[in-house]
Amino acid sequence: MSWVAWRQQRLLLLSVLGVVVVAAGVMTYFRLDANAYLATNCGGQADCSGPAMDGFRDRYSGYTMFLRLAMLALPALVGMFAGGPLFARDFEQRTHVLSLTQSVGRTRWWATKLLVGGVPVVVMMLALGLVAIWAAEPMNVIQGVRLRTPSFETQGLVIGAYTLFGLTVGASAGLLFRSTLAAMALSVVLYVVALVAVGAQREHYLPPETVTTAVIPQGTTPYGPGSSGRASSDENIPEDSWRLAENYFDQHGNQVTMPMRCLFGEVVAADCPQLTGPITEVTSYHPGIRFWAFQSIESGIFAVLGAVVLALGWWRLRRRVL
Amino acid sequence: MSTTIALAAAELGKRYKRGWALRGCGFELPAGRVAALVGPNGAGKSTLMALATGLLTPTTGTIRIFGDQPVRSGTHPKLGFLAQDKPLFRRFTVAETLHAGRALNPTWDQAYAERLIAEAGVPTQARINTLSGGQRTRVALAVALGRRPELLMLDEPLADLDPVARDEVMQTLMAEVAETGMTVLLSSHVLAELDGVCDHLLVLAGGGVRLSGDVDDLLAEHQLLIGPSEDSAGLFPTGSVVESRSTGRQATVLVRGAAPVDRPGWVAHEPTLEELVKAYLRSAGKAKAVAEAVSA
Amino acid sequence: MIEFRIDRRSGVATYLQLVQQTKQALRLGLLQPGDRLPTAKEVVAATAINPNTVLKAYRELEREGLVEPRPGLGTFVRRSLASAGTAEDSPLRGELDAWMSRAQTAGLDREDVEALFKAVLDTRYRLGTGDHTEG
Repeated sequence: MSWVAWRQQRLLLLSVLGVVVVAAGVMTYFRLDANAYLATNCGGQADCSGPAMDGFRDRYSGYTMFLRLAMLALPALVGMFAGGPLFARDFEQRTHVLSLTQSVGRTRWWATKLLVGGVPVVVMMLALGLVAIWAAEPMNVIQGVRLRTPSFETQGLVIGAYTLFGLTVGASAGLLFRSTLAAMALSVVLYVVALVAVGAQREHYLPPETVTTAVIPQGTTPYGPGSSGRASSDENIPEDSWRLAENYFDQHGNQVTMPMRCLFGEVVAADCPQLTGPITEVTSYHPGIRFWAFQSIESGIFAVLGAVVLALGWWRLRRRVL
Repeated sequence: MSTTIALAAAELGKRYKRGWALRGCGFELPAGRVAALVGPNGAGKSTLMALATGLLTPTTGTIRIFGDQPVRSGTHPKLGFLAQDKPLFRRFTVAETLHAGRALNPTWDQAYAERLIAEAGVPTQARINTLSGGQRTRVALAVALGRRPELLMLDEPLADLDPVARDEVMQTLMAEVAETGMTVLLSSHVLAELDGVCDHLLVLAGGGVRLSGDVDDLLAEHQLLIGPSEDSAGLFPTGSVVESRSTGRQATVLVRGAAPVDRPGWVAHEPTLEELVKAYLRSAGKAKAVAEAVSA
Repeated sequence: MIEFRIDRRSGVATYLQLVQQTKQALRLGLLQPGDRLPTAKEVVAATAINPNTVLKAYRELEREGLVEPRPGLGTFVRRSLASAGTAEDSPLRGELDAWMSRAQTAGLDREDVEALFKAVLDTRYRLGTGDHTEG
């Protein structure tokens, strides 16, 4: 059975391999190019300043934008093309009747096709995601915080997990609807929906770190006219952190609401909390070191979703093949 | 002749959402026969075959292949099946198609399959989607026979083939029957294709078995009587009349198992296979219409 | 070797067609004692009929003592049907020829002769005997 599955998916597997190799090659080229630029113009510093850094940004911002688009689209496209036709084309050309009237049971048929047609694709995309991390290192200064959209979604383990999800949706939709077109369309639609829905929950993966970033003295507006302009002290927050929110507490430790005009207004209005006493500003954030933890958690979520979708397809296959 | 039963159904029924496709089916197909599965479109012929392969599971009753019920780990090793649309992987070459047959079957006879392809004159490096309908059927037949089945089921194998290809496919099939002694179940709604080919008959209509048995026995059991129509009422014992038609003064009556009629004006003939099957199909159609009228 | 031709529209049972064609060949001397009949596979590969039908026809010929199976070798002709009575120079044939000549002189056309011949044939040779045995 595995030879048949390989022969059926051969063209697609080789195409994915080609795309992955080309993408990895492009990324490697730009990493080497960026490192060469930094070595020449910044003495090897990844975060030099001034015109050299402006030149660096100009040189690579286009590439970075294109790369993000490509890496967002690639798991969707690969999942769609690898998963959608996997079973649906068999149903359309009725070759499932050929395969299932030999000495192969339907569960083995299903599992073998998924293993041979799916696992190599996911592994290749996983590898591409890891190459993307390595290749993006010199560009991190212009990529922004890696924990945040869209840096987070365009590199790392999640590339493999997104592909896995799109592929399983396409495969199971093919078992349910028996149409390649419908399976591929559903694969992309659910990929986008899942990406947005799961992404909205990302900040809750782990409880955020907190640090006191300012104390607002009683009766002052920190950013009002005449004030120093920089009340918060951010030194305690690593630069690659994902800052979530500033929260304000009164001297008794109760959280208070801080309207914008109380921070930026000319006068301290009657409803501003700092009128009654000093207010402490606490900033919550995810440190950049959590990148791998977050990547693992998000990949795990997509893997579980994929498993649910697969189980649905398997249940359908058990019940009906004609 | 041994009494091994190649295919047997008992109280076999299959219900789809739109209703029963087969209901209360019972028959036995002895091994070594070349059997025709005849019936109008939608009679349940394909459903019956799908139940035998295990692609469908029965709603009621059982179907047995050489005594065994279908299981989920693949089609019974003694059963070969050629579906109506002769599905093959379109982008495979002929050689790859045989390779697939070998990969999917532990009991694969590669030399035999290759011989069948060679006899068909199909180039082994040709892609399936470049072959003619006749060639595709020959390749699909080679895949079905490569499993070395003892029972081969073919669903409308000759539909959409040109006359020359029909002859070639039937000649191949019959030659393999002569060589291997395998049992064949062949469905068709074109009776002329089956005359002289089949020695066993299974007539399906309205989801049920109307007639089954060896063709010689069935033909001998039946008489086609032609006589004056005013004389026909009450002439034959009830239950023996399969179909009675009258055109003006003349009546044509098909009876089963009745004693020879010795009455002036009546002539008895042995019916042809085609007359026999058509009479059963027409009477099934009428019975269905009556049942529908009663239930309405 | 004999080659069979099956007419599916003749209304004659397939095995009977095989029997009749074999006998015809025996009468005409196309098959001689010792000749091998085609195997069932050879027949069906050419005619696409059921191999059981071929075997049935051969059994019928065997029952009549015309052929005999030799295990592993095939089915062979035992005796010929070409008889002195049907040969081209037999006296019976000469008499029939003379009778037809008189019929021609009497103004009977082909159909008249055929009807007459068949009527006499049917009274002399009762229907249902000879070659046309059913079942």
